Amino acid sequence: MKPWEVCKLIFQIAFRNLWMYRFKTVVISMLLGSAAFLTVLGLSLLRDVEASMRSSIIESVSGHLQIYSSKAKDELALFGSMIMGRSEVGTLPDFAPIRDEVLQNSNVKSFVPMGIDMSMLGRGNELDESIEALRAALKSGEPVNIQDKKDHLRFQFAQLRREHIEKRKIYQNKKDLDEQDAALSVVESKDYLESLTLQDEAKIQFLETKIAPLSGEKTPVYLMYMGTDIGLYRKNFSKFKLLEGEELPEGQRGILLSHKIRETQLKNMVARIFDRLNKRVIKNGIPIAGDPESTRDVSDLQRQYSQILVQLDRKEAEEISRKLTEFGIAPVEAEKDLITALTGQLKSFLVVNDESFAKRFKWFYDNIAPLMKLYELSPGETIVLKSYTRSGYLKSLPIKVYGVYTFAGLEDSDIAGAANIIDLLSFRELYGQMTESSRKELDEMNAKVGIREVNADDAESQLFGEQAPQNIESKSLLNESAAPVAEVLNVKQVISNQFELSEVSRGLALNAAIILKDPSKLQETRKKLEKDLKAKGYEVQVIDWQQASGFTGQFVNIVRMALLFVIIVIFAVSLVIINNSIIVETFNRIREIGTMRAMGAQKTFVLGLFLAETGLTGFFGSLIGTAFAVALLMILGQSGIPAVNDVVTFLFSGSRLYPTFDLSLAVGAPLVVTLIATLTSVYAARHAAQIKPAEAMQEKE
Amino acid sequence: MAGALTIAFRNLIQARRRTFLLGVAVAVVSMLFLTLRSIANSVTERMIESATTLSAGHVNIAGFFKDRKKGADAVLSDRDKLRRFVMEKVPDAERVIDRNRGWGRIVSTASSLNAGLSGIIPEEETTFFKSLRLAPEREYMPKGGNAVHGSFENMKKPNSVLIFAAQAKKLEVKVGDTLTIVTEATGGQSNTVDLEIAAIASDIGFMSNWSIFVTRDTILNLYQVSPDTTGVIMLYLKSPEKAMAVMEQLRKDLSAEGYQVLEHDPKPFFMKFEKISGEDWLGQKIDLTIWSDEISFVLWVTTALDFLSFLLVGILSLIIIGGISNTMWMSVRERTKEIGTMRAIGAQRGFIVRVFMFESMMLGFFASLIGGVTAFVILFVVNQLNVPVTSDGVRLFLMANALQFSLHPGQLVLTLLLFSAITGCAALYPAFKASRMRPVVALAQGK
Repeated sequence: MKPWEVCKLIFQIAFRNLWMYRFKTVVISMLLGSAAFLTVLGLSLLRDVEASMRSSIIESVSGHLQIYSSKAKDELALFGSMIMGRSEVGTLPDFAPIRDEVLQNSNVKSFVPMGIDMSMLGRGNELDESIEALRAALKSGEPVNIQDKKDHLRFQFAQLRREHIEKRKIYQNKKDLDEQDAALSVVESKDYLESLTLQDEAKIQFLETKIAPLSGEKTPVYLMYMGTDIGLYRKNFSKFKLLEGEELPEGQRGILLSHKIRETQLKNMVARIFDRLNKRVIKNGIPIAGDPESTRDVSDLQRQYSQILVQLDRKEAEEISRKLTEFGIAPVEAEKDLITALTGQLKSFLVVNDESFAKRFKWFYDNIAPLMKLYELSPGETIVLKSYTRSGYLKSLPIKVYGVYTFAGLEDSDIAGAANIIDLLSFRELYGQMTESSRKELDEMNAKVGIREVNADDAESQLFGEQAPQNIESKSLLNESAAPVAEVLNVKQVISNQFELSEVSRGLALNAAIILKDPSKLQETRKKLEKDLKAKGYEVQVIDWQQASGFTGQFVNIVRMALLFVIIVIFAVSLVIINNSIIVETFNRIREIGTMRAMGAQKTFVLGLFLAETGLTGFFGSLIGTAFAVALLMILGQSGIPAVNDVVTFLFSGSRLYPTFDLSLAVGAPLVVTLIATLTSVYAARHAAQIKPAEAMQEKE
Repeated sequence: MAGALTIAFRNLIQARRRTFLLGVAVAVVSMLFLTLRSIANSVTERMIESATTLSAGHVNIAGFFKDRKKGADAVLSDRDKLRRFVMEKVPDAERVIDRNRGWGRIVSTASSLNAGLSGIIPEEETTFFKSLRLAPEREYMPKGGNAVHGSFENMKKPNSVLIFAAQAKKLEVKVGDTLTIVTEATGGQSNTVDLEIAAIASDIGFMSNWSIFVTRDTILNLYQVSPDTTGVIMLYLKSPEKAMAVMEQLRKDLSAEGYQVLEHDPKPFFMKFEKISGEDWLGQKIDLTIWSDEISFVLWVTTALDFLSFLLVGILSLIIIGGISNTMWMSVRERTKEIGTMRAIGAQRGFIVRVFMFESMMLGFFASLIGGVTAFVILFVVNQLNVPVTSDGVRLFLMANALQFSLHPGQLVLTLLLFSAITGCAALYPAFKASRMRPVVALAQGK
């Protein structure tokens, strides 16, 4: 017989056998099919997740490589680490020579200096603002305006009094409380505000110094930010997208707010809860009833009415009350007072359920939101950042908000919201690094007092110490007593809002992103850069984007390891079972094989027959499994997989993942599965081929 | 019954090779199952341990005090009365302690970090101190040895602070050094205090990075609050699984007593500040939580682990069921004649079913016994080796700094039962088929 005839015969018999042992065939092909299904589906999804994370991380913050000090105490983690507070990644005291060295490498396109840190956002004092408003009104001399502002202040005094009664319940320093009590009593007397004129500077001063501090600041918010050379950054990170306001010009101090941070931390609480519910109820289609998370949000929502109320003046309050009546929520008859009436109306407006939610969500944004300050910070405003410098001084820096940005395609992802962006110079200032101008001042100061040499740490305390009424308000932390440090040097800042571009092309950075021309040579370039820099004596380390992204990047690795582990185990167990069933089959067909051998079939024929059987089963099984996986991927590719919670949103780098299927995977998987299955059955098949015709014929005879 | 068992056993022995191969498959899967369960269990246990040691009792009576409309403090007034009330209402609490809470920046000469402050009454915290271990030098110093310094007793001295090894490493401090604590969160003011490090304890998972322990007086002074305040009253129950019920009962009791109680929100207290700050009330409201609420932000790890292990074991069980029913089917065909004979000499159908079921279940039982015991031994050895985990990601996932698996004999029993049941199920169809054979036909076919 010619070889192809042998093959034909083998396949004919194999097909017959498969049909004869249908049950076995179905079971084994199902096993291999499910292995193929899982391989194709899992690996495709993982590849998609990884690709989307890869591009979002590289093109938003990290670049291909990151370089930072080898003396760092903490690992560089661009998207936050497990340490609370600021991580210490060391510094590149002057990045210019390092940059020049790195740019020597032929595969390096660009070098962008950076630094990540966080500061507290000073949130101001409402009473200060009200007193300021009264002063302005007094200057304007309009009686209605003055009366309005005085009424407002009186309202706030009443609130302070209520708060003061509560304070007594928990604070221990009764003497302070008594003093505050006395001060409040003074301003509460009917005459105090009534008779107040612009000439009563002492009275206004009293309000500013004794009363305003009682109201205190709002709880501070921590803001993460990345300082960078904005010009270079814009050129190299394509995901950056300005949503509102204007671009931060080069050579200007300023901050660009992250859209995500603004939405989740700086937005009015009512709007925030509405947004959260909207996402869950409308976008993800999970009804409120029966969902504990949304149910809690709904009950929280109705308690936040005062967050709307405090934002409205009398005219606006009247307007909203009227509109709410039109909407179908009329004030309770008995309540004549506008505030009480509106409070009641808002309370019932904010009680939402599955039926009313969509309508009220829209109504809120159409009618109430435009009258409110929806965000605490908006472009055009100047904010105050407070930061503890390295040696423990609290430093405040006023900085202008230029715009709001996001990363294109990553609007919903947590990665996109990691940090705000500020100019490198303000970054250095908050970090505790001196700029040229402040260094010059220090030098002049030292020249006057006659000190020649100072090291960096001393220099700072010189500059910001008590006897140095310099540019920024500062205070010493390391006070021995536990008493409040009340004294804050309040000096107008003299830092210019502009700076020389040359200042950001050298000097301090914490880390830097390196953009490559050919990303496929990433690891080679990384090794070479590290070697070259080390040879030149720079104490730096170069890591890839995945490592630099900290836990974020590593998470994909963990998921991949878990998936591969699952696939391998499933394969291993399937293969044992397959082998097993072939051996059992051999026993079953011992006579048949004996007969074949007796009729002159070669050992290789028997071997081939068994291999062909497994091969065919494997092929068809895995083909079906792959087909299912591809079909599922295509369906999902159309509709997208919704990210059900924050963790998944973060993995998907967006609110939905649109899987694609990879042809090579779809073709490769069945082939590999078939091949592995066939190869592993060689042992069992050889076993069958070893049967001696004579013995086999005698069996069970 | 005994007859069926004997025949089943004999069958297994006869088909040695088949038994061996299938047995290996079942053993591997049961090993895997046991390993995964013990990882999931150890993560959960560690979470409970970290949470209940560091930040929560089984039931927590905490709350917020609003002395400003736009703010909220984690303080409760009338500590003594509240504590008495709670102890009275939950008589079977094993232990009741209370801690004052704070938040601050911890500054050393070398570095600084942010952490939650727990103000403890050292005399009451014997259980807490017992569950901690003094860290040997090498855990926080670059070339440190095995020597331990300080003692938890020293916390009884005023102005003492207890920190954890990872914190000490970052701050570059040792026992006896001075740390400065700066509170940051009070309306624009900041207070500071210098404290001496009384002890450095070994880390408890990674959650210990976020808290340090000071005396109650330190917190009272830092925040200038009266001695009759507290941050949280923590109840430790004899049976922690009753936490939810105890909490609900307390909610009713406290409300009946006239306390304002917040709705249950299963989040740690520090995630609630913003919401409470926005609410329009003054005074105090009590917030009741159970231990898992205080660590809800890491509970997804257990969910993910459970999901993964059930998915894997589910798929593998299906594969095993497929494999075994396939093999049993073969076995039935092989022994058609034998079945026919048995039926012919009067064996009932049920007997035939039992023979095949027993065969399969015995296989499952012994194989999973071998697999389970092997896994148990391997995991035990790994536990003894105390392999350190270096990757932050894996550390977060496992909640531990070293590879440790929790081993319970109960898990082994569960594994045995589960796999016997699975293999039993797998044999159902073939066994049923075998029992349906008519003796005459079976005898004829067997020829």
